[in-house]
Amino acid sequence: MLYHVFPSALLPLLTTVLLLPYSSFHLPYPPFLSYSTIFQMVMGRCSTSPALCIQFLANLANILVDQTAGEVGPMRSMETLNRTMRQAIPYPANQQPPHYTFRSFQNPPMTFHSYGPAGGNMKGLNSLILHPGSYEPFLAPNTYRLYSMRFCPYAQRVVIYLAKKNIPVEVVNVNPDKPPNWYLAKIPKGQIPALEYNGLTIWESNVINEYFDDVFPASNVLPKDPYLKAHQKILLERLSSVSDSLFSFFAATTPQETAEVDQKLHEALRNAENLLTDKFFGGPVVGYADIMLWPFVERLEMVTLSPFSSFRYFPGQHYPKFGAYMARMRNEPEIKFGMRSLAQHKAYVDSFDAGNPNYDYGIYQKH
Amino acid sequence: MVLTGNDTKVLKAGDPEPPLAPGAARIYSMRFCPWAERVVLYAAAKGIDAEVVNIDLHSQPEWYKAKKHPKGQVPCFEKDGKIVIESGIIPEYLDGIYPDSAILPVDPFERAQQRLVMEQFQPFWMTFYGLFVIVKEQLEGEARQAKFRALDGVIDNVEKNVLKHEYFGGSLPGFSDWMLFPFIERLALFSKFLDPPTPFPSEDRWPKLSAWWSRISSVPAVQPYIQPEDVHVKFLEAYKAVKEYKDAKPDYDMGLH
Repeated sequence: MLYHVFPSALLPLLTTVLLLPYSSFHLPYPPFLSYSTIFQMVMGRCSTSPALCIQFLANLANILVDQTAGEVGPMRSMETLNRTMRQAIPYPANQQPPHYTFRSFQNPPMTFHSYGPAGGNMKGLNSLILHPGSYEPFLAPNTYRLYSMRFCPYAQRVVIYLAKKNIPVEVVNVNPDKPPNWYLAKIPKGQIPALEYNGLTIWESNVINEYFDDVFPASNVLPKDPYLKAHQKILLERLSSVSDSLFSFFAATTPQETAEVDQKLHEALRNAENLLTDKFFGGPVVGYADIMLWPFVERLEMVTLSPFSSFRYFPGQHYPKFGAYMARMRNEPEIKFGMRSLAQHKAYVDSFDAGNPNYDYGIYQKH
Repeated sequence: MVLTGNDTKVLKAGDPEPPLAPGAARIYSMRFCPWAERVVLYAAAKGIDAEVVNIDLHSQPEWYKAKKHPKGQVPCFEKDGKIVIESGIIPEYLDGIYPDSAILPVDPFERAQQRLVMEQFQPFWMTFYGLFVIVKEQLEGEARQAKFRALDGVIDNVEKNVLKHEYFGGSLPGFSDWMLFPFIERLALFSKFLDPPTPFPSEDRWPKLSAWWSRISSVPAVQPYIQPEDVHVKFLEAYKAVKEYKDAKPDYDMGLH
């Protein structure tokens, strides 16, 4: 029956599909399937059942998209497309889900993260901070403890890293400005983040992360190959202008200083844009350089809140690759788990500037 | 098992790129750069075969910035077309590709401790040039004392808390020993400039550190790659003579004429 329909009804639609560029499939409701077209089909101008026709069209469009684009991009939009089209089909035909016969409709293979959501390995991430005069919490033997602070970017690096490696760890938040005495006895300068395990202590976020990669090599984030490992570290070093501009932004108080920070940030983003040659800095999947850089990028969005800065969006239209990269990172479960909203970051930084940092901001809210 | 070419003249702008055979290792360096010296000493301590090529940092060969180091700095390590930069990253890379002569320990906690030694010297990187500034700007009185105090505080901490064995790496020279060597060497040099000359490290105040320094500076494997004191002092004169360090015109071939 279909081949009777094919030349007359489908041909104009097919040609429209063939001529459409890839980007238009990001619309939830592609233009070639207008309401009027569906209405015609629904109203019986066509001899075949509308459900079958639309189902056929959807599958066909999918093959064409795959052949032209070959990317994972349109998957989500095809889901919304299917949902929209199903709504256009009258009951009860719309109750039957589309039959995915084509391989391209299958979800791309997902890397196995864990049996649970990201961050299930961590306990105490949002616990109240410990100040001088507090008692040292007891650390059970053979348990990793991370001393952290909820808004510290270096501590966030370790939190994301541990979420990726899915190592059980307990987190204790400690006042980084005035650490408790028992903490200073453990870590000479009271630095955050720090790791304690069976009485042994390590600090510095890059040292802690490499330590975990050495102890748990199966879930490596840093590549095992010496050259690729060195390359990730070199990449992080070359991206240091991005993290430096965050500190310049915090230090800037006058409009002139903020304008200078804008210049620095533009240079840093240009540099990062040039260095980004794949989906992530770590290659096709999130790697060491991405995780170590992310907390600073997350906080850099605060430039948009400054009235003196020329950044109204971050990173803005001049850096499309970096913007797409940030969107990709935000979708990663481990990154999402460690993120805090811009409002929370802003509230913390404002309290810090006022001289009374509120390390516990947001504990009693859903963020 | 030797590093060739450490005492060769620098390659300047206009000099062609020397070809590198596959399988051969090369270190781009400058004889008086402390960061490049770290890598040269580490490679010498490991006993690997490599060629050292000195680069004129002021008028660099065009191919150096284009193909080797994006910022045109030294050190830089090249082997089989793979280029690694940064003096903190090259030693670990060398231990990765020459695992038999690995200096970094295998135990993850010990590795972390070696990396942390460098972090415990953190204020040192800011303060150690203080001695040179005293000489250059002829600081006197309070300014001079302030520079000394900043440095002394760091070294006191290291003497008390960090140097627990004969070397920073344990009973044998380790990663952190070689990373520190060039900077302590320069401190010892700067203190010769001081009026009156104060030998560094002073044996009364820092006995462990001075014992360490005499031990590590006499390790046989690295002896050929340490520049003689008089040559080094003459090289540093160029920095004493100018107001801004970037205006200095040092003779990178000092001692080779």
